[in-house]
Amino acid sequence: MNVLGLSFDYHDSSAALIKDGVLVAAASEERFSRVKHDSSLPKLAVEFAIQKGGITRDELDWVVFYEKPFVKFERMLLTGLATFPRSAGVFRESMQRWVSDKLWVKSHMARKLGVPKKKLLFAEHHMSHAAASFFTSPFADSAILTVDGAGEWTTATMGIGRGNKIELLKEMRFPHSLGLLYSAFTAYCGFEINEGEYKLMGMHPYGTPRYTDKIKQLIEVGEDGSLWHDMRYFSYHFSRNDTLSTAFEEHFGRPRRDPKESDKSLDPYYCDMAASIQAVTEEVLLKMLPHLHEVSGGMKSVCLSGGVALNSVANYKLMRDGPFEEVYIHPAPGDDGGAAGAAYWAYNQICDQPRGPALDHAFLGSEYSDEQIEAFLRENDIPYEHIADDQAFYQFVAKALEEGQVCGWFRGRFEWGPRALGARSIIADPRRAEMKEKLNSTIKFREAFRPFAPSVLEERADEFFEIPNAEKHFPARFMLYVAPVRAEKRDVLPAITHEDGSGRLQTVFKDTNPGYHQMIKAFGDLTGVPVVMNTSFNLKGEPIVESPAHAFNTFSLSGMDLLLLHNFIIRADAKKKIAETRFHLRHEGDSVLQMVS
Amino acid sequence: MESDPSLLKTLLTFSERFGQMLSRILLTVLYYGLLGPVALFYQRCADPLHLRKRPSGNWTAWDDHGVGFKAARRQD
Amino acid sequence: MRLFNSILAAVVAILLFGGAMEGGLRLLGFGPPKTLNRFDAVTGWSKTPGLRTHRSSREYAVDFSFNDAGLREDQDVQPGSKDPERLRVLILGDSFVLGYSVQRENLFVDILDARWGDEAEAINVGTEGWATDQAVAWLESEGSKWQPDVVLLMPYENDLYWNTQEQYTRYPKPRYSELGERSQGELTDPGAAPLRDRSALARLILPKSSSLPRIESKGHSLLAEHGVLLAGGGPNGDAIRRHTQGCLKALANWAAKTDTKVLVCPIPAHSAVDETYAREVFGPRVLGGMPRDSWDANRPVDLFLELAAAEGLATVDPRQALITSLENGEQPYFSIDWHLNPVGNKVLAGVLHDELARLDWAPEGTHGATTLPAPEKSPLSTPALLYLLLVTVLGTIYCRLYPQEKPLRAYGLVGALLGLVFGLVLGSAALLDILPPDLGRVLSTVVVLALLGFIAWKLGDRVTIIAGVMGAFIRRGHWYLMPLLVILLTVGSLLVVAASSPLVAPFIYTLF
Repeated sequence: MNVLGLSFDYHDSSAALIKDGVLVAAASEERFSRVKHDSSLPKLAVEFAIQKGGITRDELDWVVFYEKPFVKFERMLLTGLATFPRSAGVFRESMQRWVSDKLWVKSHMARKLGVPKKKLLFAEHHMSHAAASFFTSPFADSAILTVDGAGEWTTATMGIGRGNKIELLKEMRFPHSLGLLYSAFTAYCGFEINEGEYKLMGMHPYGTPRYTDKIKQLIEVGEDGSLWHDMRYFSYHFSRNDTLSTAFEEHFGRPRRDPKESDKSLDPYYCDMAASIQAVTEEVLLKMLPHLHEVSGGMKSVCLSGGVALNSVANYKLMRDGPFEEVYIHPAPGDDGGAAGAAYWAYNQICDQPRGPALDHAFLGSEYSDEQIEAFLRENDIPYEHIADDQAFYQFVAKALEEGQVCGWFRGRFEWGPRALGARSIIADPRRAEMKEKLNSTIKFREAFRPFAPSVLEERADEFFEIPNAEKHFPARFMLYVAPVRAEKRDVLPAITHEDGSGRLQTVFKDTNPGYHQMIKAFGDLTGVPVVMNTSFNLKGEPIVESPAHAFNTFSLSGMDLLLLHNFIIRADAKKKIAETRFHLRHEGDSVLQMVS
Repeated sequence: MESDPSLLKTLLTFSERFGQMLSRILLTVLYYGLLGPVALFYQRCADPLHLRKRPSGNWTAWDDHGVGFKAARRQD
Repeated sequence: MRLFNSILAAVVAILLFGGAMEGGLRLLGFGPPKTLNRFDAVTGWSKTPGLRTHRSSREYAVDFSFNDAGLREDQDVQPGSKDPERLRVLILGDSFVLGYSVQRENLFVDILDARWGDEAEAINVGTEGWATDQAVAWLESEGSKWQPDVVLLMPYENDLYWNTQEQYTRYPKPRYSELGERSQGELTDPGAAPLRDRSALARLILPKSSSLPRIESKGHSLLAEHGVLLAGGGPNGDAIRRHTQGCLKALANWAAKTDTKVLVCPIPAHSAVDETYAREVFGPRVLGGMPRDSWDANRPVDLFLELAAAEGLATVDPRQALITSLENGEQPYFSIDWHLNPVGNKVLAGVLHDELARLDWAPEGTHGATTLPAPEKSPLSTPALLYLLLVTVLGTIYCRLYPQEKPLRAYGLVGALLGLVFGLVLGSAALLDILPPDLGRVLSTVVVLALLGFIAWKLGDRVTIIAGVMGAFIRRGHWYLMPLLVILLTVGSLLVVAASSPLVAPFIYTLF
C-alpha cells in the first residue's frame, strides 16, 4: 500500500511517501524549489517521492493532507466574531486568502497531482503531529505530547499510542498556546516569527532568567501544565502584524526590540528575556509531562511532536527531569513532519495496517550517484580530484579539518527535517575557537552569538557530553537535544560549546550514516577528538542545498575551503558562480497573519 | 505587435489589482455589515477563545469527530 | 444542543438558498405579478391604501401611488374634503380609469382635473379588474361620503360577462339581479393569495392554477368574456343583459336618491375603433382566428349605451373621437397592451370635457393644459452620476493602495474598466427594451443560465467543496454564520472563476 502525505499552505511544504509501512521518501519543497519556507503545494517534492518510491501516481492508494481546512476556516471566522471590531484587517486579509485559495485545497490536490478525489483524505493537524512521532518511534505503546503554535483549533494535545492506534485525550485550544507565547517573545526580542525562534533559543545562555515572574503575570500555568493567556497582552488573535499589544510593552517597561538591531548585538535585557521565556517554556512542559504520565496510566515512554519539540534545550531537560524513561521525537517535528504524520495516520489508524519499522535515521531525501556528480563537474568545467578509496578519502578530510579548513560535505540522501545531519553539512574542526567566528562571518553570515552544533560518534558521545547510553536517545540522532558538554571537554571543543557550556549534539551511527561516521572516526583517530563542528550546508536565507549544482554555487559564494561531493574534492580556486542554480529569499517579515492562519 | 502582449499583461495586472481592491472593500463591508451585528450579540453569549478565565485548567477533552474513512474524507 | 444548532443551521441554509433563488427569479422578471389590491367586503377587492409600486413593460413604465383613502390621488383628496365651491366629479371604472399603463400626467382623469383647475375636481376611483357591479356597489357603499356632484361610469367590454359572475379568480364579487338588487351581502375574505401568486420560486415549481373561463364557438375557443362580441352576446347573452341592466338600474336608483348626475361613457376596445387591428391582430391572436364576420367589437359599447339609456342615464359615445384621432395619423391605443395610451387618454379627456360642458354639468375650464408637463429630469442621468461617483471613489482607493501607480493612469484605467462594464450593462438593458418583453425575458434567462453554467463549469469539482463547507458548518451548528458563509463562498467562487479566465476576470472583479 502506497500512501502519500502532504503538508502545505502554511509554511515549509513537504511530501512524504510510505510504502507498506516504511517511510521511503520525505522532503521539504524548499529544497527543490529553492524558495525558503516554500508554502505552495509541493509538486517537486511529490515528484521526487513518487520517483524514489519507484511507483506511478496511479499506484498511490491514498493522498493525505495534514489538517482539516474547514475547521481552521471555522476558527478564523469565530475568532473574527470574538474579536470584533479589532480584527477587521485580519478578517479582510485572511478571508481573501481563504476564499480564493485555501478553501479549495482538495481541488488543488486533485488537479495538480492528477489524483482522483476519492483517494484524498484529511487528518487533523495535531493527529498528524502525533502520528509522525508515535508511528515512527520504536515504542509499541507510548504517551504522546504534541505542542505547537496552532493547528485548526488545537495548540497542544495529550494522547496515548497503542499498537497501530492513537487516542488523543485532551487538547488546549487557540489562542492559548505555548508555541505562540514563544513566538510572541521572539517578536519582542526583535526576531522574525516562524524563523527567529532558533535565535531566541540560541540567545538564552547569554542571559539570566530574571523575568520569569513577570512573564507569568501574562499567563496562568496550571498544575497540569495547561496554559491560559491573558489576551490583553497579546494581539495575534486580531492583528495582522503584531503579536504583542501595547499593554505587553508597558508591562515590561520597555518596547520591543527594533528588528534591525536584533542581529547586531547581544543586548543584556533581551538576553535575559530570552533566558526567562526559555525557563517558562521548560517549566510549562515539565508540568505537562507528569500530568500526561498520569492520564496515560504511567506509560514508560513519551513521543513529542509539534513545533515546540524543536526546542532542543527543553527537550533534553524533559528527558533528564521528566517522568518518562524514554523519549522519541520525529526528526521533523514541525509542520513539515505533518506530511509524514498524515501518511502514517492514514496507513495505520485508518487503513488498520500493522506498524512499520521505527525511523532511526533521517536520510530520506534525494541523492546523486558518482556518475551524476562527475558529469556535473565535467559539464561545468570544474576542476576536481577524486579519491576512490573511502578510507583514504576520510583520512584526507580529517587532515583538512585538522589543518583548519572548512569543508562542504555532500554525501548520500539529504536529511528530512530542518537539521543537517551529515548529508548536507558544512564541517570544521571544533577544537579551534576561531572556527565559530570564521563560519558565522564568512560562510553563514549570521549573528555572532549563534552557536554551532557538534556531530560525535555515538559510541563515544558520553565521553564528551552528559548523555549516558547515547544509543538509546533517538532525539540525539536528530540533533534535538542540547546537552551539557562535559566540563573537562569544554576547552577541547571551544567552537561548539555554547555560552552555558552546552552543545546541540548529533550522535552519529555507523549503520545509518557510515560515510560520515567513518570520516569523524578518522578525525578522532588523528586528533583524539571524534567530534566535528556541523552546520547546515546553506547560506543565510537559502534553503539547504539539494543538488551538486546548489552545493557548488553555495561553496563558490562562501568562504569554504573545500567542497566534498562524495569522494570528489573541489578546491577553493575552482570557485565560480554557475548560472544554472538560483535561489531567492522568502520575503523578509512573516506576518502574524501567516503565523495564526 | 510587441506592445500587444505587454498591453494585455498591463490590463491583466490591473484587473487583478482592481479585483483585489474590490474584494477588500467587499470584505470590509461584510465584516462591519454582516459579521458585526452577529458579533455584538455573539460576544455576550459565547466565548470560543476562552478570553474569560476558566476556573480549573485549560485542557479540554478531545472531541473525536468520527473515525473511519467517512470521517477521514471530510475536511472537517 | 449541538443537534438543535445543526438543524437550525440547515434551516438557515435552505432559507438562504430559497431566498437567493427567489431574488434571482424576480430580477429576471419571473416574479409574481405585483398586486395593487386587497380584499374588500363590499366590492370584492379594492386598492391598497398607501401602496407605492411600479410596473413596466416594453410599452410603458408606470408609478402607482395610492393615498390613504385607497385612490390614485393626491393625499388631500379625501371623502370629507369636498370644497363647497368646487364641483366634484367621481370617475368609476376599471384599469382604463385607474390608468393601468399611463403615468398620472397622461391619464384622462388628471387631464380633466388640470383643465378644470379650481372650478372642479376629477377624482379617480378606477380599480383594476372591476366590473360595473363593483363600481355600483362601491358607489352605494361609499359614494355619498364623497358628496359628488357628478359621477362618470366608464365600463369596458369585459364588464358584461363578469357582471354575471359572483367570483373573479379567487375573489368573491357582488352581483345585481335585473331588479337592481345586490344579491350578495358582505363578501367573505378568500384569505392569503396562493403561494404561487406570492413567490417566484413557487411559480416555477407549482403547477398553474385554473385560468379564466373559456367558451367554444364555431370550433374556436375564446375567453368567456369575449363571448359578448358574438351575435346575441354569445352563450351568456341573456344573463349579460339581465345583470348589466340590474347594475345600471341600481346606479340610477342611487343617483335619484342622492340627487347626483350620472354620465355613462363605455370605453371602446381597440378593435371597435381600428378595423385593421381587429382584422390583423385581435381576430387572429385573441379570438383564435374566428371569421371576421362572426364577431363585432362594437356590440359591447352599443349594449351599454342601450341599457344605460333604458335606465334614464345620460350617455356619451367616444368612438368617433377615437376614430378621428386614428384617421389623423395618431395612435390612441398601445400596440400590444389593450389600454388607451397617452394619446387616447387625451382624446377621451376631450370627449368627456366637451360632453360635460355641453350638459352644463361641469365648467368649460380653461385652466391648465390638456396634458400635464412631465416631471423635470436632471441634466445628468442616474447611470452617469453613478459612474462618475464610482470612478472617483474607486480610483482614489486604488491610488492609495498602489502608490507606485501614476494617479492619472490609475484613474484612467479604473474609468476605462468601469466604462466597459457600464457600457455592457446599459447596452444590454437598451437591447432588452427594444425587444418584445417575452423575448427579452427569455434572452435574459438564457444569458443568466449560460453565465451560471459557465461559472459552474469553471468551478468544476469545487462545487462539492462548497457543499462540503456548508455541510461542515451545518454539522457544527453555526447557523448564525450561514449568511456570511454563503456570501464568502459566492465571492470565492467568482474569484476562482476570474483566476481561471483572464478574459472574464475584469468583469467579475467589477461585478463586486
